Amino acid sequence: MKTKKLRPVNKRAKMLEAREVFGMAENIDVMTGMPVGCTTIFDTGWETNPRPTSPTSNCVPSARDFASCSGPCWWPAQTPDGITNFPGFQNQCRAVERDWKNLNFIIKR
Amino acid sequence: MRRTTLALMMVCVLLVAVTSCEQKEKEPEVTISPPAGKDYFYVPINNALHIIDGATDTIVKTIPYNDYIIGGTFSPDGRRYYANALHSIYVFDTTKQELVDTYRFSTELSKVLVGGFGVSEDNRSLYIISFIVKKKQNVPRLNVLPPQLVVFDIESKKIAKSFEIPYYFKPVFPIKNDPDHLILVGYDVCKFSLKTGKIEVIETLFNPKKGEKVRNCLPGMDAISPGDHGIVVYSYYEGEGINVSSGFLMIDRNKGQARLLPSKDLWLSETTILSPDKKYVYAVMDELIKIDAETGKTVNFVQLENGTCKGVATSSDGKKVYVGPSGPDISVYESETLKLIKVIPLEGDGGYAMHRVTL
Repeated sequence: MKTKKLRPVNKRAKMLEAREVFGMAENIDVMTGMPVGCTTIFDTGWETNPRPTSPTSNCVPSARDFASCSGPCWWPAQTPDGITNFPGFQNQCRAVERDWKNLNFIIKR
Repeated sequence: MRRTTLALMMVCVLLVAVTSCEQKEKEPEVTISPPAGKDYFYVPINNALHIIDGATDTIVKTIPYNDYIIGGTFSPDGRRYYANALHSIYVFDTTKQELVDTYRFSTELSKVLVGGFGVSEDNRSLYIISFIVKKKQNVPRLNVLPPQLVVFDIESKKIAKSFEIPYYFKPVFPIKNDPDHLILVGYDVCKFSLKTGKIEVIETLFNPKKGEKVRNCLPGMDAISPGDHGIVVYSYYEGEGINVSSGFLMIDRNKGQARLLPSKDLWLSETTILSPDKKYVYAVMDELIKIDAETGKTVNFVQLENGTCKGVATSSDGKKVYVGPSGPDISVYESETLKLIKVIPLEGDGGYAMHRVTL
């Protein structure tokens, strides 16, 4: 993200700024332009689960969140990244409760 | 005598004016009768689409593919079911119950993420929210383009139009009788002009009005059935810490309007649907909750026996509620009592998609 305070101070930094790596128009904000998964804003209040009745305490991903959270999701460490790195994870594991032993998305074998 | 006649005339004019105003206010409510026919539920799971017969609640067909589906919707005429994976859209014929086409948008050098999509009311176009990342061959650099709203012509399979959109939107809804506008849900609920590309906020979520709190909305599944009442419901919550309240965002696809229904109780739910008679909202995540659609009061709730679910659908007569398929099953509940009637086992895990068509 570019801000007005950040200015390139040497030749290499100026070259980097000019390149496509920043690829976006000036008015696009990376932080607010990112996909946020199943909610319209990224709000950690969602995880604290303020309900007074069962189920209480913080939300944690369960086996039943596994497949549905493999897209742009809140649980990037707990679920396979189906967008880029593990697009075919469902071939190893069609139902996580049954096939979890086949998963190798953390370390590619 | 003249004065009396004049006074009488004025009274008559006033009466006519008042009556016409009352008539204007009391527009006849459009009643939706359930479409005659048989209910089928389309349930995409890992590597296959299950089709469930709503009369027997059994799987009547399984259509294989090799992908994970994140969303789906029927065409308004009910003839096609479009299911979107992260990088492509699968097309199913509902009369033949076959996979008839696949639209693949990504290449090795251009990754296109399909965020959400809708089908135009004339069944001829798809409106796709896409995120595009391009890379140059042998150069370890990515070019992240701004999100695009793409109008995809189904017949020619070509992009007819594309618009750069400023930030994240996921659900896209065409408005009935208004082919020039769409409703988009993102940080706020907006009306999008397909002629000018202009965006107009019609209900606030992230940028609330003065005195209101920021709302976080969960647009999980677009619970739309061909020929339904045209109202889509999403749950939202607002507030911080333990001072949180929840409610339901109701989007009217007939009029292109949105309104909020605050809930009397705090519920965190991921997917919601309005019953065919528009009297109740059914919401699911860890529970199945029945809410009065007028008052926001909780009518009944049960904890889901098989665990978290992210999809919900009703039968066309409103007598049954189908909950699933985050895990490898769908639970069928009686809508009146929320009593579990049946659990339908599936071949694999699903996600946010489960839709009914009545043929």
